[in-house]
Amino acid sequence: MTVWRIKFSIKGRLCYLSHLDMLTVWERALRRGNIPVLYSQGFNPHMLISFGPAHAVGVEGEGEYMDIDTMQGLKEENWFAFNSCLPEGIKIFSARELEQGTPSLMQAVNIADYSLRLSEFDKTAAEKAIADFFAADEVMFERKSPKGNKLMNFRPAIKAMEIRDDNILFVRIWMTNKGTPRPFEVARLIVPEARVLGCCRDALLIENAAGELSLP
Amino acid sequence: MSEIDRIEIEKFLNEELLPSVERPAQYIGGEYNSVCKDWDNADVRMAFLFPDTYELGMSHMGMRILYEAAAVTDGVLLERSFAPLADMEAKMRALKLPLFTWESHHAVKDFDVIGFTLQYEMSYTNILNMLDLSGLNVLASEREEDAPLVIAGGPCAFNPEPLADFIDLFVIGDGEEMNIELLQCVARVKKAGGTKSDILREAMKIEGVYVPSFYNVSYNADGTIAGIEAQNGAPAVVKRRIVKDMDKAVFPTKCILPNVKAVHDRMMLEIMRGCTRGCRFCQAGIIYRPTRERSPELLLQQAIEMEKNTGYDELGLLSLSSADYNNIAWLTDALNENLNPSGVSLSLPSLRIDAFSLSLAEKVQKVRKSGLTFAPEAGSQKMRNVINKGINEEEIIRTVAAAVARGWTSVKLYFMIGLPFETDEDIIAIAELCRKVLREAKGAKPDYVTKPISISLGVSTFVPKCNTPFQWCGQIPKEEIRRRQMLLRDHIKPIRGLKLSCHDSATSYLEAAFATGDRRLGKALYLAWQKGCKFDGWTEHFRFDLWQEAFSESGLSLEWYANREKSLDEILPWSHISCGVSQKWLKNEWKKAGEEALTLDCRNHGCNGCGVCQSLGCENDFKTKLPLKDEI
Repeated sequence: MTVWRIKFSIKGRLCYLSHLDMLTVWERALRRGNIPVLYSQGFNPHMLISFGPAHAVGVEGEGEYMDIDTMQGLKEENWFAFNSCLPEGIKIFSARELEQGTPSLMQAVNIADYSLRLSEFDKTAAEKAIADFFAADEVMFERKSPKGNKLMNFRPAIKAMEIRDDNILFVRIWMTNKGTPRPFEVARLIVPEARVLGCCRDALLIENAAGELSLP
Repeated sequence: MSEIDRIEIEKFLNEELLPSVERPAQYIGGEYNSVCKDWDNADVRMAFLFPDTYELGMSHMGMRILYEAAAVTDGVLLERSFAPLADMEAKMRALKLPLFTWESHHAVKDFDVIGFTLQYEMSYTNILNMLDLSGLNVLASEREEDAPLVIAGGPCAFNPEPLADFIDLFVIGDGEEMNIELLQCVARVKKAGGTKSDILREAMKIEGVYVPSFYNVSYNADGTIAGIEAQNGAPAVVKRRIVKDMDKAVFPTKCILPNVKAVHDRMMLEIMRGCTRGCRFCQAGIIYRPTRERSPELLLQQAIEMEKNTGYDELGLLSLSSADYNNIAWLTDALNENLNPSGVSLSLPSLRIDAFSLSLAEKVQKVRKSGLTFAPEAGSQKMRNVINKGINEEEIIRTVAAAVARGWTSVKLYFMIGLPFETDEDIIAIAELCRKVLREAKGAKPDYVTKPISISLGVSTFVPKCNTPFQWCGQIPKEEIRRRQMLLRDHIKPIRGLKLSCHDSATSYLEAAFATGDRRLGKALYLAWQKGCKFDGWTEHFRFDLWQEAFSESGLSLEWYANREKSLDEILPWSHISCGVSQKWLKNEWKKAGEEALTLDCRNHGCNGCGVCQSLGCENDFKTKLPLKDEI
């Protein structure tokens, strides 16, 4: 058995697929491509695939990851060839065999970079809002949901933030189990007047205890 | 013009709609295996509109077939569209965004032809709504000469009359060849500078095409039809179109993979068309006659191709009675042997209630004995004879018990109430039958099965349909249906282990009116839509109060349409549309129903004279039985 870590992108309208529908897309593609994926045991066998942290519906991805258990004998080229079986909008960049004992994506990945494309806004005001954000010890945000609103402190979970190319808000979010800010919420907090025209998760990263970043 | 619209539509979709609507993935289009032909190089463009949600529409086999027929024909472009959900529709209307297609996002109104499939009567308000959402007038007579040609086909087109005010042209019968001929006719007339009236006059020459505006209907003082008169040289009777050789018919092996899970999200293999059993309530059993099987070797090849093209892990064998297919055992063996060893599961809907069907079910549900569904349809032998369901109580009990003995724990049984000649005793007989079935089933349960046996009853209300022996009977009044449902409930309640669910009687009431009504119903339909009726087939959207208002304002009586028994000699609203089965034979079947007399299946017992083969020049086509491996 081999576990492959696949790096891929999701571009265009396919980003509107739910996590579950995306899983179906992969399962069918892997079957079309005759990739010898391993199945779980039991009455309802399913392919042994695990994704990294789920991405919100409507968010594109430049550097997404998934782990796939396969039979031995595949090479990286097989995965590049497999690209032809994937629907337009999904593309594999790299594939590598994992060493035994490598932590799972869900365990390891704790940082996500996002770029939000915004409608017109006041750049100076936004930059000031960013400066104020990092100057504060605590920045509260009220998350609204049908189950009730929840007050969250966004300050510790946001590692970096800046305006790029006049209309892009870049934000680096630390994913914790105490409640992770969503990119759309960060945009609402910093540039409330702007509409989000597009959102892309540029990278998923691992930050170790020393604060060093690495790719999964 | 259309190009600008398309870009605008995409901009709105990307920036306003997709980020804010519920389950946006259903609207994105561009699915794997979808076909986007070059707009400018097409001779003719058709938008196929499914008058219900995406997840339902993407389960529809007919759409897959018509899609494939267009995909392989040069010059013909066909794209899909579906009814948007309420939140999407509200946003589209607020933005003044017209209904568009899933492939190229062109506005539906920019196509030459707009086609609806008529799968069930309760989708009719959605048709009006989708026309309106496309920016077209819903009334055919009010639409401009250069507006798209609006067509419809499918099982409900056998009584197209309630939609006569809205649809320019109906296609009656098998659509795969007819639709292409029609589209090529449209291309030809348009190229020659013709308008819509020219198209209609040319199209009516195609076998199976019905142009409602070419027929004048007059009425008697009692509301019944006095006459239906063909004008403009239209044929007095439009004969249904049929595909004679299913092996030569186009079949999609590159089916589109929906972006959100469809209701039936799997490969579909149409093993045969038609059914010779002759259940007297069943419209499909009449309008798809004669039975035409596909060759088992061809089906195997199609299944293998389909799996390669889709990556699906489930295959449904489709037909009206799969166990009747001559080579069903050979085919299931061959599929199990040749499809992906990592598991393609087969499903066989529409099974009979007998030992053979059970052994088939066992063959296809090897690992997961998920559940079995049988349709005894009626509780008493008398009623099963009335409807010509050639099966007895002993067989039903024995089959269910055998299923439980082999490890199935949940069995669903379908029944109908409100059938002609039904008495209270027949209703109580449903409960009695289920009691006996359950007792035997519990006794048959093997020791290793720990789950309790559950038997659920689905009880629907009988709706008379055109072109069946029961087309003359009225539906039992709504209150009486409720009483019978209560009666059944009272008798089911004391039996532990039985679950009962009854279909809403108000929906069936309307369905009866539209299934057998005439073109005057268009007025009620129009008013109901104006009052906001849509998605009537969905309990949460169905507004019977609005429908009642619509009927009373239109001066029509829903009761007259749904409950009146028609006399055998009156002119029926669909009498100018022929499915090939003779009315004389249907009348005789209706008489035999009253006598509780059976009519035997012509597959095994010789011709019983329904007349379809002679009328359509097409015979039953049963393929020679191939030997099974373990027989060689």
